[in-house]
Amino acid sequence: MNNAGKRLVSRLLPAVALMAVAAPGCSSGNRKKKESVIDFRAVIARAKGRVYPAIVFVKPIREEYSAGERKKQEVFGSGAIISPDGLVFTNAHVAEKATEIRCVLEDKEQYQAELVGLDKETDLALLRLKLPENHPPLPVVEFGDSSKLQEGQFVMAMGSPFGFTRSISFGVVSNTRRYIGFKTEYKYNLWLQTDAAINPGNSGGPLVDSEGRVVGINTLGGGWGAEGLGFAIPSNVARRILGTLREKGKVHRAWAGLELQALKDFDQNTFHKANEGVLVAGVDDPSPARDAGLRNGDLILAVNGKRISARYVEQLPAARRMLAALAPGQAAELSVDRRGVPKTLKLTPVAKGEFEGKDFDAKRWDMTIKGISRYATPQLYFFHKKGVYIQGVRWPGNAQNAGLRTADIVVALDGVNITSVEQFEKVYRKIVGDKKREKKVLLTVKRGPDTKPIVLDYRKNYKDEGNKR
Amino acid sequence: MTNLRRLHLFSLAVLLAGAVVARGGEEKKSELEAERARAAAARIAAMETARKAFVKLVFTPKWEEECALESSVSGQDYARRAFWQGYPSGVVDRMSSLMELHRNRRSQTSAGLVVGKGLIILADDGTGYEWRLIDKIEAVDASGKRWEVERHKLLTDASAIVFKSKGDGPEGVPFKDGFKLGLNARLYGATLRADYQRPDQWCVLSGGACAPWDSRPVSADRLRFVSGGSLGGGEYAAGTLLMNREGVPVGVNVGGVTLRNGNRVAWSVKEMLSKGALDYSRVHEAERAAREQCLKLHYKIRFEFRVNKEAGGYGGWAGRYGGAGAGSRDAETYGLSVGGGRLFVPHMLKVAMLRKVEKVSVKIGEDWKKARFLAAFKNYNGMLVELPGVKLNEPSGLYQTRGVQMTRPFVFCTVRELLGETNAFAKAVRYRAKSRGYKDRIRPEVSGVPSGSVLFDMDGKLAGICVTERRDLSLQDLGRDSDYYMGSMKDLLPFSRLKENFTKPEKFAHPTWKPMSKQESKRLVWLGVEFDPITKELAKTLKVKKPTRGGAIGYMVSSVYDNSPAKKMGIKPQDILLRLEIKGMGDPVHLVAGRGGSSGFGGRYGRMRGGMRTWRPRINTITVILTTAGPGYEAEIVYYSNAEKKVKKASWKLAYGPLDFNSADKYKDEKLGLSIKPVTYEVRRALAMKPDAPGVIISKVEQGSAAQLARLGPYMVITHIESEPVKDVEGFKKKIAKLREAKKEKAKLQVSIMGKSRFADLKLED
Repeated sequence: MNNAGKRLVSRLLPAVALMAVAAPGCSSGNRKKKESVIDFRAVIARAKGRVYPAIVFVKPIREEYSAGERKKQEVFGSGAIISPDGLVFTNAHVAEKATEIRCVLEDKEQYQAELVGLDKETDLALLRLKLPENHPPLPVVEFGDSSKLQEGQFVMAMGSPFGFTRSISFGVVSNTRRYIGFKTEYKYNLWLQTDAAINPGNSGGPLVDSEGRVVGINTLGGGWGAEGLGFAIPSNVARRILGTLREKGKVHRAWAGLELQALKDFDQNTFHKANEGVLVAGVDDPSPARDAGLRNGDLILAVNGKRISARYVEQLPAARRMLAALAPGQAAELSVDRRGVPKTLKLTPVAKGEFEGKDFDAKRWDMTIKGISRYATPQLYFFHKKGVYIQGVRWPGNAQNAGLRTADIVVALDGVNITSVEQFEKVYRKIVGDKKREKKVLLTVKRGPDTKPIVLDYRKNYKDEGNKR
Repeated sequence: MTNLRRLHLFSLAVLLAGAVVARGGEEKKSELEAERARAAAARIAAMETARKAFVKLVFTPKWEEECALESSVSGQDYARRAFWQGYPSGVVDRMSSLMELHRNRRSQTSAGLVVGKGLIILADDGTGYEWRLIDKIEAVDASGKRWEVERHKLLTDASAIVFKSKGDGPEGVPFKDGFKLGLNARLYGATLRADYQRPDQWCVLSGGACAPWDSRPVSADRLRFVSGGSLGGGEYAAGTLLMNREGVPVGVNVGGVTLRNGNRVAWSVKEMLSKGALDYSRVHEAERAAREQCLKLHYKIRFEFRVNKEAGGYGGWAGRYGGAGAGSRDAETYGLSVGGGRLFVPHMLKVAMLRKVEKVSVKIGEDWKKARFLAAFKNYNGMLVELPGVKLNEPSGLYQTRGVQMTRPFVFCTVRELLGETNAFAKAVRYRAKSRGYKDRIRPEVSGVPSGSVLFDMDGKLAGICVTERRDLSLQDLGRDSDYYMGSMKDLLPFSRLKENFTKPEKFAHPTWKPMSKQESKRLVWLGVEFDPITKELAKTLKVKKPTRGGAIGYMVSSVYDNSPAKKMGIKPQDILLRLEIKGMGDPVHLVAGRGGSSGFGGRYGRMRGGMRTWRPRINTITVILTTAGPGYEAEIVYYSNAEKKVKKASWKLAYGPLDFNSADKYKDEKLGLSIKPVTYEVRRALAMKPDAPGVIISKVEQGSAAQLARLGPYMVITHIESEPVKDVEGFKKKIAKLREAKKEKAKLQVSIMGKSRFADLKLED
């Protein structure tokens, strides 16, 4: 705690000094200088006063599938109230897979909350507090306009880093339009980058401007080795998605199977001569885009007559959103430039399926199973389009003993071809429930391009033995 | 009633028989006791005689500059060279032990037998003494009396050395002449040897009675007789003194085993001393002559290897072949001029190294001349190189040589580099036994003669060469990726036997043991399957316990490549490969599940993050066996067909498989910092690429290069350049060249990895 305190002080001091230097430029005299400092404190106090009462400490009990088994675990996150009747925003990665969500409000009262909806691809979730009847209206936060943010503008991150509730960290907006879709699954929006400390537990908490308006939702810290590097979802994105979640419980997107690339891609040092349009870098096979006749290298110039362009990577999310907003099953008209030749193609996207597959704990075999998804596990999808893979193996355990590994695709189980988690579960239950059967089962496993039969011997019950000890 | 009578009769018969046996036993017993008593008396007499007849021979070593140096550097360095250059490791060992004794001011002791006034014989084990290192030799009798003795003669018929005392000498016991052989002859033997537990305590061991079994004289002209087997000389023995029942010495066994029945040949002392013998001056003269000839006939040969940068140089390999050390890229040895400008290298490189040989050169005077590699022989370690257009010193009468004879001394000479100089080491030795070896061939038991040394008779004439025999390839060994078999099976051959090898080497050369291009050396003979070893559990579950012998043998096929021998023979996934045979190459090999197999199920998939290969290495038990055999052979595979539920056989002719990721030629564009390879068949399968899908695969990207700036990485596939498909490496090269010619700044590539593609700008010029 002491260290954190020191850091805050050291961060404030140069900011003050900077203002002091800047001040004589606009007016003169010591009085003015002093006023700026006083103003600044007031600014912080005011901003804090507007948001602080609506800050929520989110404590879900999560059902996690990790290291080959299902476990329950309490996680810490943050959130803020956006409606007097108890709607709370937080991150999807805080609220997902929760069996129970408890929220602690400013008055130290704890309430249960239910999930209204979540969206993995923007990492947003909407909760509703289960308030007692006739509960007085709750204080709410106000969203600011994130498009008006400027780099260098002061912001505060509020939340519960590492479970230390109601903490404020302070910094500036480092960048207002950061694209992080190269390495993450967050491909539909840009991000705010800030040097306000964002630690685990800050997730889902508000990033607040000097007016006390929520301009972002703190989501990602810089990770190991990074300092002063945090990312927040811009408030305009949050507002839009939360609205959809409130209405529909989830965000529907269309999927066409296109890989898009910016025309001037500074990350990959690759530059296309055109200045308009979106470059098709890849077309999934099979996919609606392929059916539509789209090819690598095509430039998409307009969708249903509306211009679409991604000159820089920062414009990619908007282009993707445009395609994702198309109505599934309905043909859209694409104006395409194919090496100088204009073309019009009809693209009929489909609804984008679940981002990731379902989980299942094959307890008796000491492993967990997950559905293969083209979005969450593209490398497995590449080898096997429809089916399940081993999400984790418990150590020590039967699956581990048999030589099964994380990311092995289960092609067949006991002679039955497996195409879904449900089917796996059904066969699993039948096998495990069969008391007469020898406790051994044949799995056909695919690892990369290779297929191999493996016998899983589950006579030993590792968990029971663990309990006996 | 009838049964009861029968029983009575039987009992009576048993009683009678018992009585007869008892009487006979009593008579035999007294005879046996008498014989035992006689034997005991004879043994006591024998031991008494032996005490007088034996002396200890004490050799005091001295310090000798060159030997001391050689023995002190004879550690690792020479151990390595022994492997390649035929270093006389036995000699070095002996030298080292004598130097060690000298350092500790100790002597070496052997047992000598006094065979006449002041005459002592020492059984010669044939490996040769380091006389340079002997300062003084003394004979010590049982009473502790000492006499100084000197080398007198080297016997040439019997395997013994005669010493003579300088003045007065030990008396010994007179030998009886005219001993008659017969089936009833009883001989008693005794030896003198050091106590195992207390090496300073010496004792006489009596060998007991020994009746000749095979009493025929070995040959008519020499008086030799054959004694029973147990009277051998041990490590310290001067053979065995043979005595009659009265303890009178009648002969001596100095070692040497007859060929067929394992009996030892013993001599009458009179005969032994009257047969051939050489003065030591003659012996040393023969050694000197051998050295001189060898230095004249040997030439230094250098093999230069292709450096494999990817594998990080050679590590210690070239060093093991006499190169300058770790990381050196050449190996040097010596070759014997065998006429016609050809040099015989009596050693063999490891096959994998031989295939990497880029250049062979021979040192003529101070110059290195380029030579041509002719052959690596199948049946023994040896290679032949040719030096066209250069006149070499040639041996005379090479193909008239008659080889060397058992028990007769001969001189071996080995040429090697010693302490920075070409050195010929020669020594008079002999071999005393033959044994049956590979393919029932009878070969001499040679230990002291290094492989590759040239043999001379005691007149200094060329006699033959010592070569290491190579066993035919055994599939079991091949599976272990080894190509050295029974390296110690040496043979002493007259050059006359090798004539055709030198004049028509192609007849005796192994077809695939030769320098090869990088690509050829990496090519593999294939069957065309991916497989995993079966397990006990799997065999049970899949109900294939019987064909796989309970899961002990079998490689289960997981996939079969198109156009492969396996595909053509109808082998399918889920079939189990059981046994592999290559006609004319020893016994079939069972594909034992626990051994070998195919490594890396799923390649490196488990750790794969974008730039990892996902295909398995092509080198596995099966390809190693097939490749070491080489293309052209008929092979047969026995497998269990999963579809038909029965064991089937199929045969095919071995042939190289298509180029794979490892063997395919790499093309590196230095300016781009980009190395590419064709998308070979296994890569194509692993990346689920259609047979006609275009592309070349990136094998390496240099740090900071244009390729890296374009974010290219290993194992990405370049499918298009400027929207045109890249069919192969050649196509890539041409396209880039064309763009450069057109002064284009960059090439627009389309790359894909694991089904995801993107565009990349590759900057063409710096």
